[in-house]
Amino acid sequence: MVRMEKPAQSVDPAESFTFSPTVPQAQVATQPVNEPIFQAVANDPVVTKTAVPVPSILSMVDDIPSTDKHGVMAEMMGCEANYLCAFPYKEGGEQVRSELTGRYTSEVAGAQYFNQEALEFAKTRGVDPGKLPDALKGKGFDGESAALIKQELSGQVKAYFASAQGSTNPLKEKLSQQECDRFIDLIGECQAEGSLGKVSAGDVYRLASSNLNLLALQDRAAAEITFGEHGVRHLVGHNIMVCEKLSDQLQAQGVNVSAKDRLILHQAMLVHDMGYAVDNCRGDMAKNGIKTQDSGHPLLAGRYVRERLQNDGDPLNAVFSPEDMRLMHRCVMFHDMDSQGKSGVKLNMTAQPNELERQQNLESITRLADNSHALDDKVSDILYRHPAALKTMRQIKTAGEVGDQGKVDQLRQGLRDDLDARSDLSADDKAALKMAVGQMTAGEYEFSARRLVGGKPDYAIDPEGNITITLRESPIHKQIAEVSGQEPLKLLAGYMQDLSGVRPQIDRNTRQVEAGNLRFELKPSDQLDDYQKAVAGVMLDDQQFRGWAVRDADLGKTQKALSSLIDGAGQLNDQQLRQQAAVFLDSVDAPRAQLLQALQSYRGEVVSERRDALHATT
Amino acid sequence: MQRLDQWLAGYQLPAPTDPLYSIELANLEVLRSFYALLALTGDESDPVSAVRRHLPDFPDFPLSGSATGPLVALGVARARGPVVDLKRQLLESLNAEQAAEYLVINEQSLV
Repeated sequence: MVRMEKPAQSVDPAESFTFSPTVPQAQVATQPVNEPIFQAVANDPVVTKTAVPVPSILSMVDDIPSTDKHGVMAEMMGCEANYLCAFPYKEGGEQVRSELTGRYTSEVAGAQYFNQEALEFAKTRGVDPGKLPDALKGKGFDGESAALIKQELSGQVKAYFASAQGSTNPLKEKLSQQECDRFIDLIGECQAEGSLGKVSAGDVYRLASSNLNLLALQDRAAAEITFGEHGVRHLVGHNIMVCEKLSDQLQAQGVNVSAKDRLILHQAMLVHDMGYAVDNCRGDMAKNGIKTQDSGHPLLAGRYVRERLQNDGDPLNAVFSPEDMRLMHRCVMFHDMDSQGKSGVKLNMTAQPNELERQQNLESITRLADNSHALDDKVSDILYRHPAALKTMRQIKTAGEVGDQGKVDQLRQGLRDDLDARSDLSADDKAALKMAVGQMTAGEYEFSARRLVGGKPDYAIDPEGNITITLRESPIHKQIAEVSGQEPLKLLAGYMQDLSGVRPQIDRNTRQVEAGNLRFELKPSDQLDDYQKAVAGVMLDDQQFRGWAVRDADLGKTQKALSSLIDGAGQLNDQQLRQQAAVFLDSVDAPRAQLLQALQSYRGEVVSERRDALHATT
Repeated sequence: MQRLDQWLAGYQLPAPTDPLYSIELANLEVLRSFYALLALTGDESDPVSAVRRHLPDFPDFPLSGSATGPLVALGVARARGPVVDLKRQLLESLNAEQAAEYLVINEQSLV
């Protein structure tokens, strides 16, 4: 239930955003008024303070888009309120809602705090995103200044991704440079199509530079964890690329996708996963490992977008209108599920989409792009940059299951030592990846290994708006399953469900599946890509490791069955216990206590055998 | 593996509310794992024949009902015994493709 106080009647548009040093201090309020709209009262959020009028019936704001700034901010707030109150949490229920409320209402999740953190991060790389180069001062945005901006950004890309004080990552350097160039080109295209007002070169520079800064910060935060990838490879290498591909496909079918539409998609994608990087998520993951910090993360990014709109001095407002920001906010808020908590993909194929159709198309493109990135190249940085870590994770899985914490620690330390020995990683890369090593647990392995069953999706849109997604099955997925104990088909079915909302029945002979308005085609691939080659090299070519993994999987099953009986024995009568114990014991003609002791002893033997075999392989 | 599905079709689990449910489920997984090994390494039409190819005098075991019955008769989940030895032999004899198939089958959900 939401209780709402009487909303404020006006807003000071120049409040908390301080990202740009060019904003005169006098315009910046000393006390930010864009405080979160909820108090962190567990399970009973209360609207306490608003910077703009808030509609009294939240459910109505979805239906009545406003194009003026105050109206848009009100709609954004309503959208966030609805999300927090009605979002169908899949796991964790009220506990998750309570934790999310706490994070959402925290000062550290605000734009002001986050942007300050980003600026400090930039300083460690020798970059000052807010300092306007002299050559751009007083200039309008045109072809000449665009070239200068690209040149400036190129130096910053190097500082972030090709320098001793930053990261040394050629792939991310290339992707970031491509994104900077494309973003500037798109602004030029917006200017040409008339969707951009008068904008200065300084504003464009400050926006693009701050975007690069945010990208690099999110990338650093993503490298510290084992929970998939939310850095440059995800944001740019997959999501933005897919947005462009889908936009191209729509245009090829005669549907208008403007340069501004594309720019909105770029900007939305650059910030959509900021919920992972905000201090109270990032810090909690580093301290406590992965729990439920990802639940509801779009809400935190939504708050960020809204608070930037709120600040007239933010360069975002020089390039994007309030209506653009409204669409961007929706793409961010609903990047994984629509406002009804469903996968919601609907492409409108009219030549000139109306307001609602345009909104649906942009949201659908966002969800298609984001939800289709779940397979091999979504693995975390530690696995992507150091594939041998997968082997260590498999060993940690067994060490954890047999309760050998000393071995877990030893395996982690060995991996840290291997990272330290890498000459191609910068000190900062090593520091981030070693943080991720600290999070490796028994359960972590399965989550990561199952991503390796396939990847590299391709997309085709037909004239009716039906979408075909072609997935290339990894030629090594069976072998990965061999050592990981994973079922590839189950993962693929889940992947299709996330995208379409329908869980299809597939088997090993399935080559094509219809699910909702999506069609999936599975294309076996005979060739390994570079990453798969690396995985195959470190894991699958090692015969001794494979032999150990197969035997260990068998023993693990016996251990699990024994534990199931021992744990459930309290609910069985003597006859039932005797009957079940006979599965594992040669003789069951003994009192209850003795039987249980024998079962525990046998489980101990199985655990010892697994432990000894693990020690023999490492 | 159509044959494996046929071999397992007769076995049943108790109701999910039954205290034996999770125990029987874990047992069925152990049985399925062994049957998969047999199916991958031979072409017999039923599990009894498949076991008897290696252990000719092995007695009959139930092909339906609870998974606990055949596991008790086979002794495949115990520390030692003729079927345990057979399982180890079969595991070691798997080529890379069979081993991959075995574990993929092994991990498919039963419920």
